[in-house]
Amino acid sequence: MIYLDNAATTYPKPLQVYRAWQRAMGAYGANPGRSGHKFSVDSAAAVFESRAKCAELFGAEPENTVFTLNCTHGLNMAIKGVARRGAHYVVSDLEHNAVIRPVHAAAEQYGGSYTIFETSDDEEETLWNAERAISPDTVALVCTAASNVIGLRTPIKELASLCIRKSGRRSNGICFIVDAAQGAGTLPLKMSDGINILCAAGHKGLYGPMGTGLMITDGSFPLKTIIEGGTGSASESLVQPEFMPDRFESGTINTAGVIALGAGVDFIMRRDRRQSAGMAGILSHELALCKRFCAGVRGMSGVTLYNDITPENEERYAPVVSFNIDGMPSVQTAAFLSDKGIYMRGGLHCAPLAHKKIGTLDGGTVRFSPSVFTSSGEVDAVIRILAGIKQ
Amino acid sequence: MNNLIIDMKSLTQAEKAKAFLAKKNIPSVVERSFGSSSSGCGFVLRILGGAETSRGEVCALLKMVGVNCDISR
Repeated sequence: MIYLDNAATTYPKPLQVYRAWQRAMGAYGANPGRSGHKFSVDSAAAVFESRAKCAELFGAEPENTVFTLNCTHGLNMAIKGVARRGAHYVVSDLEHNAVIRPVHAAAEQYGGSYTIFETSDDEEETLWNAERAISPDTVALVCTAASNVIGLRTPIKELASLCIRKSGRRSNGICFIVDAAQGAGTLPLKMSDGINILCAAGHKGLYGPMGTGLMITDGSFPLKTIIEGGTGSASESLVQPEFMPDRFESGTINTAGVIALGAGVDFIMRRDRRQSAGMAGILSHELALCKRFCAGVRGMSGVTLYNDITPENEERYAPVVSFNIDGMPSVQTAAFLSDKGIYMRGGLHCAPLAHKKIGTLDGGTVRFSPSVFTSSGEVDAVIRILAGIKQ
Repeated sequence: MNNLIIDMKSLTQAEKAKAFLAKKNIPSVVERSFGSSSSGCGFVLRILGGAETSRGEVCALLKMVGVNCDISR
């Protein structure tokens, strides 16, 4: 098997993640934050340890680091949390349905609207388009850190500055929400970049299990809740607690999952120096594989590359490449590759806006997305097989 | 030996406080509280070590990491 669908979820996970999950299922089997017995308290301590690691990775406080089911869950809480009557949202033309669907729903529910701004290889143009999209009713600018289709990175710090500048003296500022599903674990994202809310998947670049994610806030925007329930705290109150993270963690969390997520964060933060080169090393490795792949298929007749990553432009991209074989629908190409033991995703990748942008809304693309565990030999094997398709 | 008991706003704050105090060589445990003055089910931090550690000293330390001993729920 050659697994190249890491933008969907990373596989395999680091060995320490499997071990942490298995250990957690046995050693931390009590519900954390509920009972007062030692077993529950120990589970809570293990959860906190993981929470603190996730917080440290993004330069946040543990209290403001909420465990979610996935990135989509966090984005829904953030986007709907800032909604109000007449709310206007600004989103980029790269957004995943995890952003655009809750934005659409919130705008509908609150009698509001949203504007999609065009991103560009030219950062200044992207910023200019974003600024023009902002209106006096804008409550949030929601933007992906990098496209899950073409890997294009967005100017996060500059967009954050734009939100602050445009908020000006408004009593309700513009909340800057970042979808870090494709950036967490590789791109150097920090809350101090000016991000108000960052949402991430635990199971992609953070190498945790599926069923985990993060919503991290800087505490500057109060959020309405979309889920209320038992938090194991302030139980006499019929009202959801105001304090974090309890406010956004109703019900039992994926205890073993978040503990294993902590092991994933350890891995990428290079705590185990034998196994990982750290985030910068991971990004460098994955981009090198993307460059290798692009170099290998660039000259092939009948292959269209939608984001050709080269040494000259690699700083603009997260490690994802989209391509198609001429005359072959992307899902057919993906099925052919699957029969050869090569696993990539074909189709729209839940990002119709991005496909509309690159002109592939009809048939989608095949997506090459390596991980830290992908080897150059595997990439070369894929290139050979793709060359064989055309023959 | 008297242990100091400090009401905590949340479990996460309690764990954060415990981890921070441990680095200062002040051992503590997180426990459930019931019927505390701050109403309802909550958590407390029990500082181990008796009279050597005063509430004032502990609270001053916890304030450094944003944990407030005087909580409101």
